[in-house]
Amino acid sequence: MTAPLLQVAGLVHDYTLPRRHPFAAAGRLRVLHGIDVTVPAGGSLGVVGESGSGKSTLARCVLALERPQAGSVRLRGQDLFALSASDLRAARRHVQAVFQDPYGSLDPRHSVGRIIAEPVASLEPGVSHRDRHARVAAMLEAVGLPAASAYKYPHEFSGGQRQRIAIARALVTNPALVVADEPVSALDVSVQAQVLNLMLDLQERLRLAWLFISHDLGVVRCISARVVVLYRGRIVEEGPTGAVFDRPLHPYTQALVAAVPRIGQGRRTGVATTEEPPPADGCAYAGRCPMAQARCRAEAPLLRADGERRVACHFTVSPPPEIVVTS
Amino acid sequence: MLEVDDLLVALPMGGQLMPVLSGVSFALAKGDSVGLVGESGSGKSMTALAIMGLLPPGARVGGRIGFDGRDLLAASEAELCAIRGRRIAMVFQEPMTALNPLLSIGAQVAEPLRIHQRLSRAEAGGRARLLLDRVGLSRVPAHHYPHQLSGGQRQRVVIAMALACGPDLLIADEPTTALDVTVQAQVLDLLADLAEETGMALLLITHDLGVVSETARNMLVMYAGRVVEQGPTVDVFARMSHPYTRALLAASPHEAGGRPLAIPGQVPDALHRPQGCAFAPRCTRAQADCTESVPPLHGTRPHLAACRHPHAPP
Repeated sequence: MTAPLLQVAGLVHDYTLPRRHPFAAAGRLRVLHGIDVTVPAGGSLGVVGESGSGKSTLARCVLALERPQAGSVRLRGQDLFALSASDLRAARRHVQAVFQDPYGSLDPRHSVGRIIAEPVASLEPGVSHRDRHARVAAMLEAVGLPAASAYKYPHEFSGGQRQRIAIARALVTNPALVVADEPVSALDVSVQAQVLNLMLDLQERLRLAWLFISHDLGVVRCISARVVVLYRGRIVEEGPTGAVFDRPLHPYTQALVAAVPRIGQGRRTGVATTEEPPPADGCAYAGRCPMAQARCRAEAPLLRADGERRVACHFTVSPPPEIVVTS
Repeated sequence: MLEVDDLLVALPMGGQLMPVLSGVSFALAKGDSVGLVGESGSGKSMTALAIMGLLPPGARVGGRIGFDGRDLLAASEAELCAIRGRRIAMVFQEPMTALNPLLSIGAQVAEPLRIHQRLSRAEAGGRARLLLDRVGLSRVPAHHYPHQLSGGQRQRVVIAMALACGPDLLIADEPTTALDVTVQAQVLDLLADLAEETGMALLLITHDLGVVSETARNMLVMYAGRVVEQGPTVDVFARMSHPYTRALLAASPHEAGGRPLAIPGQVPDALHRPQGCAFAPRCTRAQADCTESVPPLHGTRPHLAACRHPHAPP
């Protein structure tokens, strides 16, 4: 079997907290507690969870913008954090990013042509000026913008068009993986649908893989084949998107799915608002979980595999069987 | 209690007055709720600002906004100041910009009480504590500053401020757009509970059809400054008449997965609105007569739609 395009194993990341006074030891906050995810070539993985769950930190680690304390990020078999600076630079061609805010992520003083050409200029130094030009024109066409857009500036475009420019910039180096952190959250529904359809088209046409981060379950459902649900830096559930959202196993996923407002259902019955601090050992969700029992506060559940799905809960609705290794 | 009748707002743009809102009419009774839906540029927020008397300078208004028998459009600034914050309160989308980073949350919740009800610092502080408890912030000390709170907590502080004087009408402009789904559910529950308990009326502005369906009894779908469909939320969702309402629903990725159906094109801005029905250039059912004149709202009250070729008769 060939190695998957992206393989993240045992990723642990801490942020350093500000010192309380100049001579105090710096505190640390662990935001990722051993994350394992894989994305096959041409596949798509959605990452959902609420703010503070570590979604964006995971994205930043995959982009090698943050160095994790432990664990590895392998892209096309190469461990990004074992590479030399120049090899890492070469590897960056294969993983690009699209960010949430189409107003903040494009330099207002650069022309659109220069913005899209920038990854080529910095990551593929051998490419001639003329080829760069041709690649920019091809990218603009691929994202459905007129070729003349290259001579305009970001302020001349609407939010949806800017996000197309951001996607063109991400694709210009022909990456195998694009990390998209809330790429459509700032857009209106109709424009959001246009951008989502563009992302799906590009995935099919270019055999591109997306790591798609969002707090909107509907958006994740339409773009990702598989989904991981993060809670406080741990994976609580993973599996095919449709199965996870239709039959969530973990109580947190169930709460997430139940909280989505649906048309024609009237008011939901109340979503749990109580939040006790999570127990020191034990399940991070135990403080909010309606099903929590003594065992949950004492012992952290492991992420167990059940066919195509993985779930980390002592008391899942249908408990997946433990994997028995027979010799 | 609130009666908006044939509201018209025109703003100076490119040297001339351009109408940004026309013919918006709806009524809101005590304890009732109405949702305004539409894309950016459809006039949702402008409607709210007109009710609050907070339109940009140079704006021209027409029609009538009746509030307890008084026309807000004819009211003086002094009269409006007595109403704003006390009788009509507003919650904005972005809680970080609505809060003052240099004041404690307790002081900010107490401020409307100090201004409108002339309470002493101690009395207002005590009431602020109760309000913070009411919105589910009983664990958060009143001397905390906005930066010490999460997004959902900040939005609750903003709601507590809006509730301080016991308003008769709360206008909430995209109150949950910046929040996670679980926190959104809590905030919507809170608003619905308050409406039930205090008889407060709620005007909810959102682009999320699910939120409207769950929270508002009546709804208005707006497009390019006009109401294209309005009625009881249940009826509108049961028999969507206007092609724009259907297109909005089809574009929302919430249902069942699969590809969302994008609406081609964009909302025209006030300077480039086409003749006749503003949605016609993007509409799959448009015919020649759509561009002749603006279709009037018609149907069997209370469900109305402004379309000559509706999917189902409203």
